[in-house]
Amino acid sequence: MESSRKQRWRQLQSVFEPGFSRMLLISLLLHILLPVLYFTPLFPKGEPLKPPVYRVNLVNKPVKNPQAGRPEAVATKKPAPPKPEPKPAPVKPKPLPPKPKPEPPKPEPKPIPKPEPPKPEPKPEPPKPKPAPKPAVKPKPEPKPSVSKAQENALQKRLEQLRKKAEQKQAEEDRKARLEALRVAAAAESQQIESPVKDAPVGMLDGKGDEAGVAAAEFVREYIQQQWSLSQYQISGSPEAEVLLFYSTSGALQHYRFLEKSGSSIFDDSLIRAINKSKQLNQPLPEAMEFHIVFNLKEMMDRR
Amino acid sequence: MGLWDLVLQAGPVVKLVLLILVYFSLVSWAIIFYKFSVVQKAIKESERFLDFFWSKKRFDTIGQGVKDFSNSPLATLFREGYHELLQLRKKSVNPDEKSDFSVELDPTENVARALRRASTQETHRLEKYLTFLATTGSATPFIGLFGTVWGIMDAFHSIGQTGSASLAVVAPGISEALVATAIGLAAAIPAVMGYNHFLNKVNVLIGEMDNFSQEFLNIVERMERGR
Repeated sequence: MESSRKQRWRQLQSVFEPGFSRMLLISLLLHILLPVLYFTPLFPKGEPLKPPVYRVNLVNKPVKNPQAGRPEAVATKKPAPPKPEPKPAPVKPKPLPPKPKPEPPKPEPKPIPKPEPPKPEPKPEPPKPKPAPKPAVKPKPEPKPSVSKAQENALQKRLEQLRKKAEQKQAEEDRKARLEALRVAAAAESQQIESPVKDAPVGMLDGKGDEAGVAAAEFVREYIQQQWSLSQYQISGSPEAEVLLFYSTSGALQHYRFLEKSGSSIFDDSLIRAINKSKQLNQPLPEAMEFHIVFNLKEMMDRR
Repeated sequence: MGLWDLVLQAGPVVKLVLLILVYFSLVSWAIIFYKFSVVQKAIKESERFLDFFWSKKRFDTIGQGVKDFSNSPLATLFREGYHELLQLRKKSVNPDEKSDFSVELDPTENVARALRRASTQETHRLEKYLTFLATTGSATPFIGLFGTVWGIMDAFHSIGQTGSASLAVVAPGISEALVATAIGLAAAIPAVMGYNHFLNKVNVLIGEMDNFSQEFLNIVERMERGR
């Protein structure tokens, strides 16, 4: 009994009771296990959230080469046509030759009208055998021979003057058009040079073309996305699937196939459902097109 | 930035605070496991001992079987009381036998003292380490807070040196500093819960010990009067 009392007293005084060191070891293991578990897939770490990207289709028309929101993108294609135009600029002398031109034409028109009037003169002679129908014609040739040469010359001069005026007007219009082309080219060039945001993102997706509208591929992706639905509680992570879609000009789905499946049948099935709902687009496409679209679950969840 | 990165990027003082907090957490969890085992055994064996005690009519029979209830505080009480009773009996049978201790022959008083001593000893045994849980529960949030305040001081100092006060500069420092408070709370919450739970169980056992002592004394008194 005495020994039992002493044992109990010692037990009370001891820092570690017999079973306590075992519990300490268990606790240590637990504290080591917790951080280890934290790095395992059992505890999904909060992936850095992607900032949401908002796309606004101001022009909801699918085009092949959507125009960018910056002037540079427009200028990239335009400089080509205007450049050949500036070359004719040295051809300015061209307007000069027209001046001498009016001189030679003078003799030319003269001989032309001259033979003309003589022709009607002989013509009145043959009408004689055909008296019935020609009486109406007769008066016409009659007045012509009756026109004096002075009047004829005056008419010819007037014709010449009108022709000259028309040619001058044409030349003036040509010159104006060339000037305008030069002005546009110069403006585009200056815009290209002076733009402070050379590498800034363009206003529209794939914006590097020359048409105002939204990229057809983006339009189709957006359309399919709108038809897509999946509960966030059914699936997690960010599986990706690559799909090849063929659409006709009228916006009808010809056929599609998965280039790469996501590995999650739930996600793949949801995509198939969405594609089946997108068999007919609400807008025609610029031409029959083939789209290679990558559908990412996380992106699709963020977009809706 | 993960939790681990926050810990690694913290300053030396914050790291020291985190180490202290981990120590508190480690020991308090060990105490929680240990106390859980001790208290559960004590409660179960006490229930079994009471059944055994009331089913037997003789102290000597109970005295022989009490070894099977080593974790029960009631069994310890019985052992102490019965031992004292036997000592008194021996004394009354052989009055010439020399003893260093009391020669008082009031058995009830002597047994009561023996039971009270055993009860105190058992209470101490059951309450052992609970003070550490109480300390962890009350001190670790403050220790964590100290680490946080120090970390924020550091963060603001470095912000002042860089001259930038944007959220991107301020937030990581504060986030690192707040880890200390988070770990302080993580250590304190289970400790407080464990402390309250075990204190309640120990109080129940103390009540049982008091009741058993009274019952035992009554039996002893009845036995003495019947003699």
